[in-house]
Amino acid sequence: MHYLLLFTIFVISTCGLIYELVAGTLASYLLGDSVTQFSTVIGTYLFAMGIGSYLSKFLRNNLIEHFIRIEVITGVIGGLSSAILFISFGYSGYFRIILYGLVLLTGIFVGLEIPLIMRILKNKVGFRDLVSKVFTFDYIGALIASIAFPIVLVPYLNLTRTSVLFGLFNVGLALYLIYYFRKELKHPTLLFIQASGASLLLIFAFVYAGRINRISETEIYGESIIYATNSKYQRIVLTRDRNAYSLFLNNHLQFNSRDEYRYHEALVHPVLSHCSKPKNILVLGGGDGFAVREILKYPQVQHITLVDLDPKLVSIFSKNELMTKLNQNSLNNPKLKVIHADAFEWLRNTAKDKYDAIIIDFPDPSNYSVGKLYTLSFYKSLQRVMTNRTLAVMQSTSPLYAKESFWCINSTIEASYLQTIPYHTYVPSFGEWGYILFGYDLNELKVRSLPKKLKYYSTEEFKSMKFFPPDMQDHKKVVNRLDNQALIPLFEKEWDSLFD
Amino acid sequence: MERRTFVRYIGTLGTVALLMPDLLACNTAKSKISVNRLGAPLDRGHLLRGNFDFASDYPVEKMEIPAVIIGGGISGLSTGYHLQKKGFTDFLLLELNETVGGNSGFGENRYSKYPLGAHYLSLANPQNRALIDFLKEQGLITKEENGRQYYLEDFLCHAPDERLLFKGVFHEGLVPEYGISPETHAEITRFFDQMKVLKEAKNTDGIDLFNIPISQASINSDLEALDKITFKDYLNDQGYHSEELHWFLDYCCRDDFGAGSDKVSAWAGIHYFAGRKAKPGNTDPTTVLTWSEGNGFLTNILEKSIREQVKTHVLVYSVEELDDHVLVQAIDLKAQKKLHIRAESAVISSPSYVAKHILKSPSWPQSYFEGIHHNPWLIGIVVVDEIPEGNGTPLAWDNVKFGTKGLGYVSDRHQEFGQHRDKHVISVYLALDREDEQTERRKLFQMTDEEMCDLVVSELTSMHPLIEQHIQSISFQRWGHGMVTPYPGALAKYQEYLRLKSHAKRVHLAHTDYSSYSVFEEGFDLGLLAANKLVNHEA
Repeated sequence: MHYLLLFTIFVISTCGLIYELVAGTLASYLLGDSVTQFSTVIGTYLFAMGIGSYLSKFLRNNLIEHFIRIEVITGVIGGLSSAILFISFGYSGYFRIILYGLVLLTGIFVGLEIPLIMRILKNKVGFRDLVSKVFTFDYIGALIASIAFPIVLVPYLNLTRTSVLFGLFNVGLALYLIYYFRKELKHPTLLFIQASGASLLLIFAFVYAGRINRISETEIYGESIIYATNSKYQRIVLTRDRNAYSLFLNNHLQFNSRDEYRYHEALVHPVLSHCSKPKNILVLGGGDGFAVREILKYPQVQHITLVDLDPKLVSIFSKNELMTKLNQNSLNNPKLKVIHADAFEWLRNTAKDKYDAIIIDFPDPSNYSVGKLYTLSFYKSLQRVMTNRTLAVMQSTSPLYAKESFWCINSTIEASYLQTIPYHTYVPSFGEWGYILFGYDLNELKVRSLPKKLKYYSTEEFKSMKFFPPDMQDHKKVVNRLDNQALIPLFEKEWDSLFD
Repeated sequence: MERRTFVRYIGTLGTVALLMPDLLACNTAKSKISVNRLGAPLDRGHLLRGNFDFASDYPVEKMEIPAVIIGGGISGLSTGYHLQKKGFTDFLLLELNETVGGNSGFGENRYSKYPLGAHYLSLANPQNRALIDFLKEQGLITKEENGRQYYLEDFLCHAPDERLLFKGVFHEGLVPEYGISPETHAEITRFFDQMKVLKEAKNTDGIDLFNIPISQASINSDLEALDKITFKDYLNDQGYHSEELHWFLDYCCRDDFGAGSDKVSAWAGIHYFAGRKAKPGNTDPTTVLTWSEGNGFLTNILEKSIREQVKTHVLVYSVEELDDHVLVQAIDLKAQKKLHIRAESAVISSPSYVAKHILKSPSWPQSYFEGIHHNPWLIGIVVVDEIPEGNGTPLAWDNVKFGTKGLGYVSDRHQEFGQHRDKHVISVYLALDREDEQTERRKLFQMTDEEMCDLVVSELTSMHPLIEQHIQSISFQRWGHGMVTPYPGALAKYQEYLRLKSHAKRVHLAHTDYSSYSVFEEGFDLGLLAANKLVNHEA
């Protein structure tokens, strides 16, 4: 009989180490800085096992029953830990608390296992033999787990399925022990029901784990995907490459945390610094909160209205700790009001106020539906919320890679009887990028205020941004209207030719 | 035809759509699609059979009024609109249905409005001043400069407007031009060049041979000769043989007239192309104005101007022209009373198959109303949660497959400004022209929901093989009589109309049935001309 219990030790030690490895890997995968993550996870885990060992002394009588119950609980918590962490990363602002909470809980239950086994076996084996056998099997299990984890489990099963599988081992062991000790147990049926329920839950999780974990996409981006989800409107993917994060919407790069400051400073400060009284600001698009972060650097600003279609995107950038750190928690600022609506429809049907400054950060005009946001009709709708003094800016794709598209946007804005100031800057992740500043009267533009300590933007820099060398110039005055959407074929042609 | 037969036609008109839609399910191979019928004939319609017995107890209300308009389609509404514009407001417009609009009516479901028939307005010809002024007044034309009209961008058909599934790929536009032989390409070019010449062609009086509205064209013997043959025969005579061009022109005829090029008059076929000569300043001349509710948008504008004068739920069963007045007899179905109206003059804006039964006038003999044809139509309004993407051009407003007898579908939410569609609402149009119109009409009204469902779904799956699983519901709109179908002789019929009209005293006819071409411009123009007659008569 004690061979069975020694096999048990082998299983529990393997499972225990797997949970620890899963937590460590996941933490470094999502948060980066693997030395810190592994070190803190292992430390917490070992400490929790200590707590478990200590608590084991309070368990008396029916030790086998207790042990079986602990197996079931460990199987469920440890097995689901990876899935819980992946999901909570996207939806909760308390990822670290959940991470260490789970590590602590798993550790405590795993810590209960060995002392209990030793007490169960103590009447059957001599103490010296007991200690030697228990720890031998414990360490063998650990060795096998640590070798199998990187070579077989993660590549073939992925993290979520690996932890679920080992959860199933824990619960399977419980089921076997229930069968083996069915005559000695007080409530074999109850235990059986509990264990079977747990295994069904885990089997279900195993089947659906593919939907939770998106590591398979790693190949596409060449970076680690730390979060991926489908909102009603788009596919949202966050990736990490060492300590830099990137956001992809429908596979289009939106920012890289290494150089997004260049893009967003160039987007916001030309308008805001030239605006005489920037009190009431409108942001269209920009659900990542970076433009808002820059706007908040002006203390005169009293109200910011952000109109973004996708609540899920805004939620990620207002809750996830990594993202709130990047956007300096701008989306939770009391000056900000978020409206989830289609910008064009909102302008046509709902918008009432006038705004002193308008920042437009839409996706590139890569299809006919986004293209509507770059039409003459859109700029006319926008004029409903503009005064004679309002300054606005629109991100306008690359004047180097897509110069005809860039100048088409410029001609279209001009065709709506607005004046424009096109400018551009270099953002390493994007290349040369273009913007168009516009308003009714730009003749007497002067700098009113500019926040200190900007990383990139300055009034001198703006002067050079307005200069377009010949390879970024185009003089066809194509106007993009709803009924021709002339910009879409231009944009497709220019970006496609780049990859031919 | 007996009166009861006539009443059956009234029923098939779609009468009053007060019935709760009978929700049924259509079982197809893979999915369950909920279906319902729009504008189902009202039970009251059956009561009407046989001398209107049900109304024998209704009290009679006698009225006297200068003018009565019978029928609230575009022609009738336009008559009323122009009357009130001229300061003439003492008239009544009587409409049988719950709402006005006729073929330009519309419906609405949870997701979108949708047209029940006519769904676009072509850009106005420069000579069509009345229409241009109307569009200017409504802000649809924002300015005119150097003889060119500048249209409000918002209601011009958004890009992409049309796509054709041809050789497995969706191509922009409906002319099949991709991968065709040089001979075919030359033929297509020759055809459009020929139409361009005909656009400019003038009669000896210096007036265009082809123009929309037709009242601004001048007819000569060449046109009369063209009206004696079919469009297809004309094309063959002219040496056009390519399959692609023939399919395209046949499609155009079925789309605009409800019958193919082998059935319609060559004059009508050419008129379709040579009659349009818009000169817009800010868009392509072939662009159209369109809305989710189709021409229901225009119906609403016209109706709004004469809301006080419009009376719905009124069945007019007799219009008698007497020496010194016109006697109009009608039943107000809602107030349950009979109306005996003594009017100075009346405008019949009802289709020919109604007019011939209710009108007794020395100016308009019964025989005139024979020989005006209408093919039946079936329209399926389909709610679909996804339209599978094909190769090539993405979802357009009008989506058609090359080589089929179907007319494809129109995306009813195309004109929305937002990025995202939870559900698509699309209208599948089927012109039923295989057999003669009576047979087709009988078949249409005997069709079960399953049969209609199969027709609509197979039209869609021919373009998108995997669409069936995405279909949620289909609403059927059945038109026993669609727009007027100009068979050979249609122009002669119009000339007969002109002759009779010149002698008409108190009863005038204003309906596109009588101008042989059913488009908004014609209805609008006929209404204007009728209003002019009335006002002159009063003066």
